[in-house]
This record gives sequence, C-alpha cells and structure tokens, in this order.
Amino acid sequence: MKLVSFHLMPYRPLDLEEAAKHRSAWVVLPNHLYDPVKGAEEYARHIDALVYAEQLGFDAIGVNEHHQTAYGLMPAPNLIASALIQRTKRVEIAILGRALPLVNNPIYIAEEFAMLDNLSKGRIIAGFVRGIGSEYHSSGSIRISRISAFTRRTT
Amino acid sequence: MPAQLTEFKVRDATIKLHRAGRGPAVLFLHGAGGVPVWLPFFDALAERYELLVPEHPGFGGSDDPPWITSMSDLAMFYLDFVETAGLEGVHLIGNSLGGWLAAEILIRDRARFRSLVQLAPAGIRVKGVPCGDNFIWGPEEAVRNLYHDQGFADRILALTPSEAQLDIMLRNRFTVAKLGWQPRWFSPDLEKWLHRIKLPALVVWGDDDKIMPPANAALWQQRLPDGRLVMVERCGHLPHVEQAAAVARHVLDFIEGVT
Repeated sequence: MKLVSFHLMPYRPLDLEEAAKHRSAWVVLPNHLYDPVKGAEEYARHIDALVYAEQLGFDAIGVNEHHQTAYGLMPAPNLIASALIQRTKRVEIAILGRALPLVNNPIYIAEEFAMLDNLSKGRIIAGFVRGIGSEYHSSGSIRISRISAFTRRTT
Repeated sequence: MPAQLTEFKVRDATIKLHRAGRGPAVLFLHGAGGVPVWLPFFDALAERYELLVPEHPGFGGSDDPPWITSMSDLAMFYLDFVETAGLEGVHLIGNSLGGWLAAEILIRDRARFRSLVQLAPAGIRVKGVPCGDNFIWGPEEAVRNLYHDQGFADRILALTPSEAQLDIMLRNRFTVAKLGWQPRWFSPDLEKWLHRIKLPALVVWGDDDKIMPPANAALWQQRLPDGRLVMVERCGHLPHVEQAAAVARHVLDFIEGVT
C-alpha cells in the first residue's frame, strides 16, 4: 500500500456570508471576493503542508485541477507540481489530474509532463481527468464533444 | 383545427412533422423546448396557410443523425427538407434557436422563401449585453424566466411530466447544448451575413424577455435589409405563446402584406 497526501488548496479566508449571496462558490463567484494578499499566503501555506508530507513519510503528494472556484486555488496543477519538485527530494508527485478535454492541443500538455518528469528526475505520476460539469461552464468548451475527444486521446 | 403528426424523410434522417391547414406554406422552426404541445398560435396560422411544424433532428421524436454537429449542419438539413418537400414561396417563422436557424438557412439560400418572421431569435448578440444563461438555471427557474406573466409558469410547473416526456426533455437539452453551449446562443459569423436575407422580415420581441435581451431586437432590424420591428409589452421569451392573439395578428397581417 502507498499513501498519498492530497490537497485541493481551498481558499479558506472566503467571506462565507458574502459567498452565500451567490448561486455557487464555483464559476459565478465574483473575483472581488478573492484577496490576493491573503491568497498568496494561502498558496505558501498549502505548499508548505504538501512539502511537510514528505517529512512525515508519505509516498506521494497529490495535486489536482479545478477552475473558477473557492474550493481550489489550482487551475494549473502542473505549476504547483513544479514548485513542489524544487522543495522535495524523494517523494513522488501525483497530478490527479490534468483535465485534458479542456485544452485544444494535448501535445502541449504532453510537453509539460515531459518537463516535469525530467525536472523531478522521474518522480511524477501523470494523471488525466475528464473534469466535472462546472469545468465546462468555466471553459466554455462543449462537454459532449470534448468527452469523446478525451476518450480518443487517452485510449 | 387538428394538426396531423406525420413523418418526413430527408436523406437518411426521418423527422416528425406536424401539419395543419391549407394555402401557401408557412414553416415554423421551434426553439430549445421543441414542440411539446400544439399552440393556439398555430391554429390561427393554419386557418389561412398550410402550416408545417417539424421537430428538428435531435429533438422530440425525430432522428438525430450523427453528422449534424452544428447550426450550420442543421441549416443545410432544412435546405434539403424544403427541396425534398417541393416547397416554394415559403414564409419562414423561427423562435429563439429556431430564429437563429431561420437566419442560418436564409443567408445560405433564400430561393424557396418569401418572407421571414423572427420571434425573439438567438444567433447574434449586442456586445456587452449577455443573454440569460439557461444552462446554469435550475429547472423551475428556467421555466419562470421564459415568461413575463408567471401564471404561465405556474401552470407548467403544476404539471408532472411523464417518463416519455422527461426522456424527450433530456434529449432536447442534449441537442440544445450541442448547438448553443459555446459561444452561448450565437454564431460569431452570422451577423456579417444577414444582409443576404433580402426578404421582407418582421422581428417580434417581448419587452420582458429574460433569455434573449430586448436590446438585440434593434440590431436584428438594422442588419436585416428589409426588417420591421414590433415590441410586445408584458411579454417574455415566447411572444407567440404569451401574447398569442396579438402576435398572431401581427404575423398574419405581415404575411398578408407580402403575398
């Protein structure tokens, strides 16, 4: 058995009373509810927590992708993975995963993974996801046709 | 006047076609909701015209051929349809998605058409004026936002759809997402070709349309070479449903005027 310490990177300083005035904390939550000073602090602490997981003996640390949501500050998990590579030595870094149907050309994603794999000297676990419904509202891509594209690209 | 529900085959696709009345042909292109019921507005038209109300491919009981992937495919399908049916001098009416479709058809080939009526059409937008996002609305909200007079919404929401009706609603929604999800309810290429619709045109819009902004009405009138505009008061996105008598009168007067 292997153990993964996994983070979604929520935006914890969210004003819950203000957020409740909106339909959802996804897609339609206004940007002004995000304070970039507090946000930067959140990034630092979340990354610290993942790095600390290596010291605690976890086999891998996990990151993932969601868009336009207070639930996760990680629309680009590969960027966070890149930061984690610089701060860790041994632990594997699992990207769980990159939402392939949202991008137009998967070659560029393959390039990113190849870079991460090399930067980390082989510590990357490459995962791909379909994305959930809200991803298709955020990106404006058409879920129906994109999922069949995903199936084509990953099989 | 009872409508006849028939089937009509165009190449490899069979669609449901409601027909009523006699006279010059009027082709009504439905919106995102399909044709769940026969409307009083249809009866009014069928008194003087041969009214054809097809269920678009992918909607209701019609086939969904895999090669229809966009509004432009659907427009080409309907050019095949009028040709196969041998229709000439057609008065074309479209509502919402059906209005967008009507415009996509006519910019390509208007030879078999005589006039155009647009009832709150989708298809173009005024920059900075977003349409209502019915993909993100809940089911009740989506019904309420169709109407100005909430009495209509109350009556619809009081009905319990059958399993078969639920299946059709889901099927319609799937097709609507395929056609209108992105860009939301418009084609970036349509507006620049509207000058090709050299036909008498009537644009009808509810002043309380929560889906297609009434601000779009003036843009349609500007871009259509021979367009006139009627704004309907106390009316939402379905003028032919919510103000059926008044809108039927406007439409019949207009069509009489061009024949």
